[in-house]
Amino acid sequence: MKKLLLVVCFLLVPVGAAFADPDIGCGPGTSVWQGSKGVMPKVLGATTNGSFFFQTFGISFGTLGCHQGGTVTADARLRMFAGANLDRLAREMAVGEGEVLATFAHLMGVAAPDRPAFYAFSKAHFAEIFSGDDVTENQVLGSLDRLLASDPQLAVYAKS
Amino acid sequence: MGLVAFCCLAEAALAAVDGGYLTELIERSRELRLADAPQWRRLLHYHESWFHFGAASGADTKTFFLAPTGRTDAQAELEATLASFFAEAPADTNREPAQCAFIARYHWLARELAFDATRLPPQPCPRFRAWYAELDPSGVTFVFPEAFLNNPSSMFGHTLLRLDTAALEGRHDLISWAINFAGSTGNDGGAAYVVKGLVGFYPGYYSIGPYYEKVKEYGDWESRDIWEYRLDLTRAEIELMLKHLWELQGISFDYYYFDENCSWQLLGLLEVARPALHMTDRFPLWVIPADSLRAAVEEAGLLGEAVYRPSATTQLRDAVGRLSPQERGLALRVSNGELAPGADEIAALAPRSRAAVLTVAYDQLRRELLAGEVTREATAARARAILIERSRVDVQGSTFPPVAAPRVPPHEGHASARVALASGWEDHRAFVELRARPSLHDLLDPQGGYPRGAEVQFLETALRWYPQDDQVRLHELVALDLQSLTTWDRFFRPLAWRFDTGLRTRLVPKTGHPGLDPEGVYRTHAGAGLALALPLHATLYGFADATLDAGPSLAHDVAFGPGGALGLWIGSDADRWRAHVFAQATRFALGDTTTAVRAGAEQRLTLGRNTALELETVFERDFGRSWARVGLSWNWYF
Repeated sequence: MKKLLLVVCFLLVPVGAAFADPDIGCGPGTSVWQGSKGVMPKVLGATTNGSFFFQTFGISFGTLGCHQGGTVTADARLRMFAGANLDRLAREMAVGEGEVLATFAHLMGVAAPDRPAFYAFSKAHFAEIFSGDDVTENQVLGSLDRLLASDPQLAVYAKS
Repeated sequence: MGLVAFCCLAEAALAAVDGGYLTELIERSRELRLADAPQWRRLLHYHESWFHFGAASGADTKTFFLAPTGRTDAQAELEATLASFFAEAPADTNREPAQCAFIARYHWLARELAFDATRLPPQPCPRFRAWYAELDPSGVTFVFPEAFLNNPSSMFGHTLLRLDTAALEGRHDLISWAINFAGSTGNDGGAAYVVKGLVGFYPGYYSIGPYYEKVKEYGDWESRDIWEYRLDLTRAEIELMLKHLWELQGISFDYYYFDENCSWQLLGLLEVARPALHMTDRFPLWVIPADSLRAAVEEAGLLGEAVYRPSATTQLRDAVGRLSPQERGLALRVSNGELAPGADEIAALAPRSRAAVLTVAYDQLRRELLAGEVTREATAARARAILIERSRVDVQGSTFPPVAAPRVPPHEGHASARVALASGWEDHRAFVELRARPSLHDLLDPQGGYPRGAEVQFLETALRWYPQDDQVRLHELVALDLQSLTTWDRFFRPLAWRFDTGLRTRLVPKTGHPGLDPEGVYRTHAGAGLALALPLHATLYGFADATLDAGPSLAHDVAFGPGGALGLWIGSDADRWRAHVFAQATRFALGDTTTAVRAGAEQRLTLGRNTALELETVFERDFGRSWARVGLSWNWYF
């Protein structure tokens, strides 16, 4: 497959692979920015798969959770967000605060009054949620679900 | 044969609908001269072009035009567009009726020509409606990731737009949508990028994706601080902009680095949203992202303050600065694996201190991972162990306050083009000099609004007049001048580096008489070294470098040699006065051999946001002769 690289403004060197799929199918714009990174020292090596402590599946709009009408399901959105931000999510769960964690809680549907409890919960159970150094976002979400189910206040947010 | 048959069928279909009304609309559009209206030309991306005779569209995809001559004939395109609106929905459900595929054109023409819905029935456009409902925009934010020197492609900065979702009410910006315009370069590298980019060989495309991906790309991977400016656009204006964006799906544009780039395209989008804006006219020759930001802020207007989103590196730097020397040492040892995160030394710390040390240790490890200094395999287990320890510290929330935004946001920085009028003496001859630079920033320029320690200058040009012999010379034409002076410490170990290439004047010996004469040489100079932060806002640096001169005025046509430089910068970001003291020696060992030495001081006094006074005092020695130069210049940024 031809590799699509990018010149962003004044660009002499590719940076990432943002590319609009001409056929808008599922979700606005179909394509997620994905793929390999460019060239100069700092940017080098930071490919999507090599740049996380925690593993992530390359989920795209095209492969998961699309309704017939072309929108993305809430669950797919959550998984994509968690997968794309797994390192920051891990850090913020361990700390108990942060922008990624707040957005994650929003996408989980955690109501505002339950947020402090949710942050404290994910901090307390961090080692079980991130149960290994090669967990994927699906495993993280699965562990979180199982743990939430047994919490009296937060059980409503467990999917299963 | 098939084509002819298709055309006849299409015409028959039109006639059946209301051929008479189409003729009426075309007549009326001619009377109103709609094809000359600025908004119509914007929708077609028409502009005066050096490469065409007159105006032409920058869009490069055939399907964007309904008339065969649509790329250069706005009237023909308008009439073909009107005709297409009468066509019935295509049988192929993957193709949209023209009213929907060109929904912004439809919207505009329907209003200008007051379409009669009974004679030209509107199509419902469910796909556009669903897409729009999904985006659900209530605001547009102009996003400016600042310049990033370690990637030549982004050394002037970048711009993109963010669509702020109504349902999120200004919270959770990360899951808003980003609109990006970027060139697609295929697999080219090196010089091919530069050449093809300058001549518009690469196609550029719009894309939409989650904003968090952009934050990751710029803020995490490239360590660029990001500034977000919420523009004062109405919902109707935003809807119009998105209707036009809908028309641009899969449409490619000629992409030029310096004029038809991302910034120029985004300004064009904003002009479609609010036709009263005329921002692209301000940039006939080139658009620098920072300048496009100033144009957008001034003309479209701002809602609230600029929002500062510090990069991961900026946050880490700030956090490290808040640790005690002992905490710093521990954080480094935990980060590099010398010390287990649960070790006694860590456990002995007070909870807040322990939390801070562990967080910094993790952030440092992640910085090294993103910089490619460590591998995931070697560090993932350690990263997790550090976070587990942090999660067990009984401190909920960050121990660090948010990073304070720089005093001067980028839109309040000096304008990026500069002219200077200078006067002085060099080697006992008086001179008057006119300097000009299209962009961007040098280390003596007022710091506010620009990344610290980064110099990017493009096409700095100087003309010098010597009144003594009434001679005007092209003194300098420096194609590119880059310098990265990020300071070194135990956490961040960046190499300082610099590179410049261009025409310079050098005093060289001439046969026949004893003195040195100013002659043009083409000089390329590169160096690497270290910069250290000193107290009182001073930065000390040292470089090892190499210089190559070439020109017919040199006895051997070339001179090449290694050298070294040492210098000191004084002055904080906020200071109106900045100074640079330096000494440099180069041993030209090949070609015209000599030792060249240069030492001196340059200082600049900022008078206002866009004016500054500079004084330069330099002693030079070259080809066995010494001389001095003193110059005073008045600088104006515009």
